[in-house]
Amino acid sequence: MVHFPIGIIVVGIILYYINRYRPEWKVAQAISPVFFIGFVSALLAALCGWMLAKEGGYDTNTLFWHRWLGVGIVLLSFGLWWWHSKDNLKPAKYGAPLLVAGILVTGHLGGNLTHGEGFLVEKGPEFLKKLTAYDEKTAIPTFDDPDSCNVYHDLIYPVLESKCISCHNSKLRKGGLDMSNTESLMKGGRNGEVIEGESASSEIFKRVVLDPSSRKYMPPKGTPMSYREIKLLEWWIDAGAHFDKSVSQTETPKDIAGILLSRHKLDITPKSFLEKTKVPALEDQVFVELEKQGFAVQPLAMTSPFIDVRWKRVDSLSLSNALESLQSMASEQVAWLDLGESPLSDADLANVAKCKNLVRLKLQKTPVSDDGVKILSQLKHLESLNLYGTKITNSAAEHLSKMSSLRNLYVWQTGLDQENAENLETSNPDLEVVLGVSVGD
Amino acid sequence: MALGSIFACRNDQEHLSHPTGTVEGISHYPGKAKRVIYLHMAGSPSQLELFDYKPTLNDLHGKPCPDSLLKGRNFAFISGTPEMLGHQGQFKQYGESGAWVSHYLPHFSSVVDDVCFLKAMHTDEFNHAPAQLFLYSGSPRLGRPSMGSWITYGLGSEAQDLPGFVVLVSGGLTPSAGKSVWGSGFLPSVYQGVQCRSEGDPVLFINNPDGISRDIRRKTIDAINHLNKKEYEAVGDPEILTRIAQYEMAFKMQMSVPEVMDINREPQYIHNLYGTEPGKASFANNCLLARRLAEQGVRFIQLFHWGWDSHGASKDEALNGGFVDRCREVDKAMTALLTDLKQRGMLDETLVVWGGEFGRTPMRENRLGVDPELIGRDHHTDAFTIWMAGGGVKGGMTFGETDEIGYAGVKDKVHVHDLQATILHTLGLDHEKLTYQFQGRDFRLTDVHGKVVKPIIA
Repeated sequence: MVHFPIGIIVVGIILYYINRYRPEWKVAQAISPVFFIGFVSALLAALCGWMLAKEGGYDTNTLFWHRWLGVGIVLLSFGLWWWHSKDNLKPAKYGAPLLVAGILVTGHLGGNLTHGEGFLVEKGPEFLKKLTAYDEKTAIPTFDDPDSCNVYHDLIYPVLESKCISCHNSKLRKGGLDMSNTESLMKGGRNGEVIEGESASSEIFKRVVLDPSSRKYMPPKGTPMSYREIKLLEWWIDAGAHFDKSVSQTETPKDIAGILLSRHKLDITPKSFLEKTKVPALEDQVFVELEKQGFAVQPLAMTSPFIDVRWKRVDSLSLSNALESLQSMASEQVAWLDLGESPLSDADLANVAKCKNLVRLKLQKTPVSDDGVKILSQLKHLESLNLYGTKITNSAAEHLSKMSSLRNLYVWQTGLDQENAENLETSNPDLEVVLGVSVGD
Repeated sequence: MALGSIFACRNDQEHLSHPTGTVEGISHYPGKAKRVIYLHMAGSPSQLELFDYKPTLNDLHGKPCPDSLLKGRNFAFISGTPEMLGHQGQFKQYGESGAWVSHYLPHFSSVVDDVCFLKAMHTDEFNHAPAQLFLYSGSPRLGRPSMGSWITYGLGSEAQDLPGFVVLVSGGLTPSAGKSVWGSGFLPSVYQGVQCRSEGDPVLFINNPDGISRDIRRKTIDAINHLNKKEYEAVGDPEILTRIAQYEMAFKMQMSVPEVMDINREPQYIHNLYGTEPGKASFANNCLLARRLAEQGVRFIQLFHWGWDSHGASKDEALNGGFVDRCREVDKAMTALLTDLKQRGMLDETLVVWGGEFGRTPMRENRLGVDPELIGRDHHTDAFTIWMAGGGVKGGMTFGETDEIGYAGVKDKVHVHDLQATILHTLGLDHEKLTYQFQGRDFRLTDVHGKVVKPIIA
């Protein structure tokens, strides 16, 4: 309906220019009827648009311009036909370009009305988006660390900015309320504070969940707050309307966790030490080299830079040299290390202790002694330590108690007795010391 | 990138030599478990005699089963109106977690704080063979790869001289679904399970024939492999590469298998712990072997123990007969396995799973012409209990609940596909990404189903 007049008027204008510059093509006689059809169809389109606008639901500002520009086009297309049919070609000289410009603007506004603001850029090619910085203006920010994402500044303020602050700023101060900075927000408006206690008693929350037809409903025009925006606002107010706490410092119910994940790509499920820690990934060459030295090396996962390393117990290779290389090439990346049943000396453990991100360490059936455990006690992130069948005694307990991350300790067939094991468990409630069955049974 | 798409091009030989040398596969995310020991109770033990305690069922003992539980249902043997059957065992709570265990498992009740019970398991199949296939291959029909094959395909194996997937069978019979429950389906056959025996030669024909020395064997295999390589260059069938790899593996196994399978090397206190008797094909021996294989880095160790099909149709198939013997056979050994893995620091990284292929009815089976003294229950798909322990699952937890007579799950139900997804998850494998293209589409263990049971993940 609307595309026909656009097309036919443009055809008329093209014919007009052809006639002007290539009269030998003999199109002159067609111009007048085409302009007439253009005028009639533009009139019909405008009438239709007028009636459609009565249904409402359109952005009033855009509608105003679209409506009156549309009327202008109808008049102008009538004028072009009228003058042209009277062989007065002068007005067309100025009217034609004006009409083309009018059609472009009106058509674009019409598109915005029906497909939504910014549809052209949204659906358009990449360069147009870059040109207009469209993504930065409208995209919802994403975060990857709940420790560094501030609830108010990163999650709530952007919502207020897009839905409230255009009226409630330091200049306009509608209702005496300025939400653009934290002090004035807490101060409230003419009728007092807008954040008082929990969400249900706070004006700022009550106004956005009112019946939208209410006179007090906020925002009074434009896009209302979305369900998720309202939920986030409610969460923030109920958590005490704080300005300095991060997401991880705020108690987060399940539904909010879901919103944070889907709206902001923020995953708040607790992460292990290895998931939180970032180290550079190793080159393939390092894998090959460590393999040559006698280790089996395996990435912990496709997405992880950390490695799982196992001594393959090849007698012809030197464990001391291999550990030296491991420490120099991958001290940050070794997360799991299995040196079980190897001739490991306490001196070798100095190299092991330099692998500071070790989480699982298996030293079962090695000659490790209490002095060796002392060296290992600097491993702050070690969660599992297997010392079964080693030479450790009760004196190792002192060093083991310093390893605060330890969760599993295996001391079957060692000199560490039940009493010391229990003391270790008492001082570190997360620790389980496994003594195993009595060998004498 | 999906693991499957990497391995889809694995057929070229370069890819078989991963830069890390030993292991081909890399998990999708860091998994807590490195290997699985699956203790399958073939025939399906009665959850109502072992774990799922329902006092109401005892109250209803001997009363006719209400019509609502029977209408529109098919059971394997129950017909007409059966009677409700109360618990045959005496139940008590054990451990800090207060898990319910019956008197049939006196050893096991001491380790419940390391165990996670899934009490509202359910399946789609009510006969042994399809239910076993369904549990292990995700489909009740033949042709899909088994769980152990999928996992060794996904992760490779740490064992250099042993297959990545080993099967041990006890109880006198192989499972109803036959060797398909450890078959590799359409995956390269290098991933199929290898059955080892705890009686006689651990693998049939593992010894060289008389007059053949190891050197001659080596030369023979070299010659055969050379011919096979030529054949591969000519026709390019990837199964030829599998064949070459299998010859090499078999040669290594001639040395490694007799060593790992020789439980005489274990000290006496270990034999006492497991209740093992070297030279026999027993579940206890297989449990000890499972630990020894796990120590060698075998990825998936599958045990089958036959004889749990307690219909009450014969003395050996009765809750007051064979069932009690089966409990005695597995109780000490499976408890020892958990204890032994734990004291060696291996339980953290080894997922142990125990269970049957389905459950048993709260009704007594009413087959005609059997000794009325024998008590039994029929196959049941709606509710059964399995337990998991170690690598990546929470200990001392009971997940899921059945109704007051244990007929069906009412809370936190876990389907067989969910169990498969969860087992893969503990190993760091995403069940939706572990795929293999066959006949024009990607296949996976869980087909188009399965949801990881997150609450039990440690």
